[in-house]
Amino acid sequence: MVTDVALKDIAAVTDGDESCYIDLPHPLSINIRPILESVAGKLTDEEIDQWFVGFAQANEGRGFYLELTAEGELVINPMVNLHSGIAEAEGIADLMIWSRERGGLTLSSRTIIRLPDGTRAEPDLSWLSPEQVTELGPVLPRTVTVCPAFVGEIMSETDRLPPLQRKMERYIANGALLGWLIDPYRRRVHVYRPDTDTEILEDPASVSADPVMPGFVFEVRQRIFALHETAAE
Amino acid sequence: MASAASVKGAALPTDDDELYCDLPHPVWVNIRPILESVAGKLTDEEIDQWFVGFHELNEGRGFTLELTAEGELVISPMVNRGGGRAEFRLATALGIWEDEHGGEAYGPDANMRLPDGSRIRPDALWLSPEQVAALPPVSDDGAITVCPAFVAEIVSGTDRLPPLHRKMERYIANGAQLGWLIDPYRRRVYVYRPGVDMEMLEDPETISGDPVLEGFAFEVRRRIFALHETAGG
Repeated sequence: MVTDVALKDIAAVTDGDESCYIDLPHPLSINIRPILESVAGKLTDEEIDQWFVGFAQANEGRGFYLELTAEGELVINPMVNLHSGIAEAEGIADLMIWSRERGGLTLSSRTIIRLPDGTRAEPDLSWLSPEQVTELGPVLPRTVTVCPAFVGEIMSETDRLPPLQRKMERYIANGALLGWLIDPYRRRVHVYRPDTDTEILEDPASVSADPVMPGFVFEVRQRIFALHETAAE
Repeated sequence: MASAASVKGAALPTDDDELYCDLPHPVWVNIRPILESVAGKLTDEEIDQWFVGFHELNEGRGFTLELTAEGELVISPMVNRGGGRAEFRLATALGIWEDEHGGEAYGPDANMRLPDGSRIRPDALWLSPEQVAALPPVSDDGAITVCPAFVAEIVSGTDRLPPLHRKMERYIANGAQLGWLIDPYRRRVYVYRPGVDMEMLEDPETISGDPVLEGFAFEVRRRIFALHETAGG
């Protein structure tokens, strides 16, 4: 099978003597605007959404997932390592516990979200408000087409801060009411809200999601920052 | 400082450091979902234009893009200076030969679409006079739509051999009469011709292009292998 051949080539550093690490900057971003311009008026938004469902299948096991910005940048994100994966799960778990009681919908980090500006993103943490869930209708679509009221990104070791900050600004510009950028390396949380400056919390014990998610307090130091201490020792 | 104290063990991503991503190299992204969605909606020429656009929009990002017949978008880092010299020396020798013998020689910047749908940029190529006669005039900005009679690839520091061998096989399957895969690291040249087994030359002094490139003898040791001697000290 064609795919098997391709995967084999990717996985095996068969010649041995040279490093397999590439000298391309990270995250790797390719501008594919020519594709988007050529399909304008020929494909619907839903058909473009389907690319991402297809990408996930066609590139399974290759260690990355793809996002697309409104400017046509196809961003190739390496999968998070074990460490960052646990941090992500901690965040989702607490969101889930809260939303079970208080409503709305906690999404998985592999949910494709189409923002109003055309960006296709997969935030680490996201929660749809009850109003947003109602808007989506009784049959949940494969792609979420609103920007979740709450969005969070957890920095992993291959991330750089500026692209993540731009991502957070984009979520807010597209309708998010609250955004957290969690940086375990510097023990900081950047809090984004519409119409206010970004607030940087230095080594906070917890962060509050009030008033967007009333009463939701995430113990970021214990749940996420502590993971790094353990790993370092 | 709280943030400095927390930086134990885990490598701290800084804002301006160029971080290198841990994706295997070259990066292959399967974009078959895109190709399937435009089947019947875009012409081959419109898809060729993607690559013209990619080239402009991604200039300065340090990679080149190719597309295989299976829908793999192949993202390869640009060659280093030594690789650039090697490509230039081969293209120059080919150009001098072309002056006397006809046809059209190209260096690494030719846009090409093979009959199987792949969009590739060989390091050097030559179109026979018959092929040139069958193509639209050079003023046409479309891709070269025949597989050249002669194609060459030079292994660069970040390349792995198996994908290059497959690429050479593909050139021959698509109609090339002669293909050279030049490996300066192992001082080898792999010669591909239709209907015969690939031939491996160990540290040859020159390689002959006969009968496809009549009388063309390329001094590969002096022109290309020697670049590496100098570089290696």
